[in-house]
Amino acid sequence: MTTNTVGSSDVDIARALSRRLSGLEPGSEPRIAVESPYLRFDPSRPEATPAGELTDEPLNDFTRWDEFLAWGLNKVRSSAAFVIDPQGFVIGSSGNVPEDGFEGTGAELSYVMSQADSMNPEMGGLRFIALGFANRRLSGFRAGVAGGEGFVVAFVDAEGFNKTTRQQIARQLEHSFSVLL
Amino acid sequence: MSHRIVLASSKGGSGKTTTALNLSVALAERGHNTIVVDLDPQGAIGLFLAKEDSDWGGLAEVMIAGTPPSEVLQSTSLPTLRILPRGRIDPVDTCEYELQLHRGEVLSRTLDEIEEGVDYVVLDTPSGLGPVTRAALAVSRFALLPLQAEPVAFRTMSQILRVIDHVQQNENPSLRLLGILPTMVRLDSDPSLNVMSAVWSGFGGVLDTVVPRADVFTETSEIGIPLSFLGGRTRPEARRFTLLSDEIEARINRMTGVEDDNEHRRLV
Repeated sequence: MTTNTVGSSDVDIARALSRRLSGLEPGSEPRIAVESPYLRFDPSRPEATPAGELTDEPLNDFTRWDEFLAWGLNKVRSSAAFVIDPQGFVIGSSGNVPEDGFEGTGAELSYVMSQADSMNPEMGGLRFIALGFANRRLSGFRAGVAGGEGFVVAFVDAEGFNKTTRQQIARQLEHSFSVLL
Repeated sequence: MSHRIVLASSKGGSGKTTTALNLSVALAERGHNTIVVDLDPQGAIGLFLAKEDSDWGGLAEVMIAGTPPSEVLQSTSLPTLRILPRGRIDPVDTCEYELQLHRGEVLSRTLDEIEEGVDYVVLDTPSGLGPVTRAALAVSRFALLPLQAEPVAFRTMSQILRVIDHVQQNENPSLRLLGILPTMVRLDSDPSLNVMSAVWSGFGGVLDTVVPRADVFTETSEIGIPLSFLGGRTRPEARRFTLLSDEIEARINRMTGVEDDNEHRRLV
């Protein structure tokens, strides 16, 4: 055998990842602290508008919030989603939900959206908000905003947001809202 | 519940389609109800089986015309094996096919509809880390990575592992690395042996089964049949996929907490 020519930092990363992801190696570390060597695209970058027929997607007749959340998670490629009732309580969540849930985040998001309502009354109630934090992105849709209160559906780190998917979520939420109350 | 296995690799020509097809045949020949799904926009499974590009309807018909998936499932001479082909996609629509597959829920919905009574669903993906591979990883439990035993392919391993890690962390917490399958192995070649030495010495999840480089693979693709369907004497390479199916079945059982029912026997 000649000199090994396949060693590199990429291989070191691959070796560590393979050990952890396989979960089969005894004594493997649960998580590697490898700083990503890659650049990331800004997920909030504008995307090309997909074909027009997507906006005509038939509406679903969801009867439960978990059905709505599962559909929404898939639609926007989000890691987690949750629903907040008009009092600011989380009444449903799905996806990669943290151990302590979304109660605190949900209450603050609900408060932020209600604060934004007062920005300019002529603009009407806030329907959608997208917040970019250093480590997370949070998007919220609100339905039933008459009187400044409503249910909020929030998505964490959604990757598939564009104008069309945003419209589809909003349309579906308006359609399902009265049933899901 | 069926087990969804994605064949994925960032490098082309690593043996994804060959493995997907021959593994599916081996699982089916072991009596497991199996479906192999051709997600490759080029229709790699159909091409491997020497079908014309527009012979089979498939996923494209489900996506574009709303055809029920059960109507485009292709039966085979093995009662336990069916194929969900790519379908009749105009090559100029490849980008739209990939994006719609990634954005929408069509893949998970389609698989849900065809999985009743199915033990294994094997998803063949195109090379690279694009939307189709991401969509397949997002809806599957297991990722199987063919690793061509040569230096360039080896250097790309961190890319696909990085994507699996990302999907597991952000989209599909149930996703697991089922294994790394060395393919096109030539232990009489220094570069190939060097790669295998590095893989065996430090990587996790490397399967015991390896697939050697052999002319018989070209022979079967020329005829358009899986390895075990070749006439004449049984080829040792075909036996590899039987071993692979056994190993994968045992590994999935272990990862899902299923007891192995192969108890010791007594001779006397």
